Amino acid sequence: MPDIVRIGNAQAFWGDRVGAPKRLAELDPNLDYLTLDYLAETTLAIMASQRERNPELGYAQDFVEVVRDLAPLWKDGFKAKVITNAGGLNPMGCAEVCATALREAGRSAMSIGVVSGDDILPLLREASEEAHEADFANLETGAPMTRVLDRLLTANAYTGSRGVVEALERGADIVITGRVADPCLTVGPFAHHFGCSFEDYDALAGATVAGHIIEGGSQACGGLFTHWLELPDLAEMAFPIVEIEDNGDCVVTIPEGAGGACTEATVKEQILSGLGDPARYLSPDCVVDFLGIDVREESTNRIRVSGCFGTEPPPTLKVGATYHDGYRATAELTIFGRHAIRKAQASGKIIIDRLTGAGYDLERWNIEWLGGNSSVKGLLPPPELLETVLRISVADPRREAVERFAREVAPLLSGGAQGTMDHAPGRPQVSPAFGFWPCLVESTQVETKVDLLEI
Amino acid sequence: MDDSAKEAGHAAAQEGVDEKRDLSKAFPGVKRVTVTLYTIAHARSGATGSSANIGVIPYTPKGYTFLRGLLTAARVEAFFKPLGVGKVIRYEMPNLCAFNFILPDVLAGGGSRSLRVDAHGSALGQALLEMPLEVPEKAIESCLRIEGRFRP
Repeated sequence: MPDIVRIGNAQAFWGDRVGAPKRLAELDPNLDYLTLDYLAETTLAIMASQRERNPELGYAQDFVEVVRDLAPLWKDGFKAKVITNAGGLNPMGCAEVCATALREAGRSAMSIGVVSGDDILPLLREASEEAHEADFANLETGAPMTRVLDRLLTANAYTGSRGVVEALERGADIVITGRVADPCLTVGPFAHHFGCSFEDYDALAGATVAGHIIEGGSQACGGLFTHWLELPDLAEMAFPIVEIEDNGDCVVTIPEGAGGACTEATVKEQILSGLGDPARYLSPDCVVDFLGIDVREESTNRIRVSGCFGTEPPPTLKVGATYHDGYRATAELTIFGRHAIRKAQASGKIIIDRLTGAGYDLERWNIEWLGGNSSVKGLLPPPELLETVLRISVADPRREAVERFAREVAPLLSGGAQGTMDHAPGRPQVSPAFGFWPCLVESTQVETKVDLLEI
Repeated sequence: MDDSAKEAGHAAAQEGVDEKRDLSKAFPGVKRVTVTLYTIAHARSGATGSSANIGVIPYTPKGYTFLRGLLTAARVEAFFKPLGVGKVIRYEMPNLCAFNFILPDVLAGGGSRSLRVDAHGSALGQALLEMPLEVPEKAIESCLRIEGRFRP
């Protein structure tokens, strides 16, 4: 039996099941590491607005509850270390609150590693005009950063595994990071466990793919699967575990007693999730070639993934920046009766026309009639419906324009089509909108820092 | 050559293959049936910025061979045209018996900016599975999902 490291994931984003980490720990007490991913593209923008209201925030507060949940299990011998990017914009603040929670739970002789340095907002703000035009241009559109510079909210580099490895080497039981790239939450403990060199690109590639598979939580083992409805025990949907060997090959599995299933089909769907060029998957630790990967069922709920190849990473890191992007609101009305779709379309048009009449030409708006295939508008013919949900979503740089929209919805309950029903109480909420700005930064400009907090 | 040029070259090379293998035009005498992609493949879609990707996984190697000819980048691009998609790229992944389609600009701004209910491209894979395809009647049996192997 080769030496393996067993790494689970029990959180795919901030908002995933809060009880999942405890559940996975109970079902599989022999885990070596538990990874929890809280960050999606604009999560950091949400954290930034929370920090604006309270400087002590700026991290995924759900994680503190997870720490409280796990404290008694650690007391009873659960040995898994936790690696998470819950730190968001404020990893140290997150760690301090977690330390307090652990002390309150009667835990001692534990340490929390804090990995930071990914926040490069000052670097971007102070960069020269040339750099804004060229270096930090939008990766998707090529637009210069000057376009959003005065509205920038956050800028974080997707950093690699080295900080996580250093924290583990220094004895951390919990590692709280900022914007460490999702798969690196898995590559870190792998590299630490095997003492893997950061030049062993094939092994790093294997661990990166293992991390890519579990970073989406349940999506590796039944969540979002095409034939989801056929899977057993959906309410107890599993979170996945990878058992990685020293060469990076792994087995994806789920614990006994969990719902969902780990099959070649579920694992392949997850491997393809979010994939670009399969010959060049970019991670901060290595570039992975997916074209040699073999996926094979070893036994029930045990899927072997092997054959990953890696090469040296590029000299740049991806940056996810966010900026203020005006305001938005969404309204929904249910419409029942003959010609439901046509009524919904007419109702939507009335609202937009009335706004135009009031002097508000909105920057962007979208009208949908849910139930009528309108979430993929134009791809499939709409069915004849007796019932539809009218959904109108608008965005504009002016708050007052979006507020005016919010006041134009309810009047349809008396002046609109018969069978129009309001199912959200009150006027639609006007919220600030955030844009996402992907760009690159030289790796040498990003310095990872590791601190240790003893309990 | 920069990365975008390389990608364009890769895509063009793949399209050359597509045209030569467009089986719907070959063998005009063969009797065909119309099925949806759902019958012979499963899929997963998701967002990256304002682009989306769709992984399409035929159930059998035979299905992969057919789809290599039928489900071209151009065909997928035409299907998603109403959503404002850019130039679609198809990557072949014979090792996984799968294709990866990149759909640039299909999300009208993506997760943060899009005003659509499907801001994250979650519905795109399911929508593509509704695409009708003409498959030789004799071959359909060998493309179907085999219960047991694709448990449960």
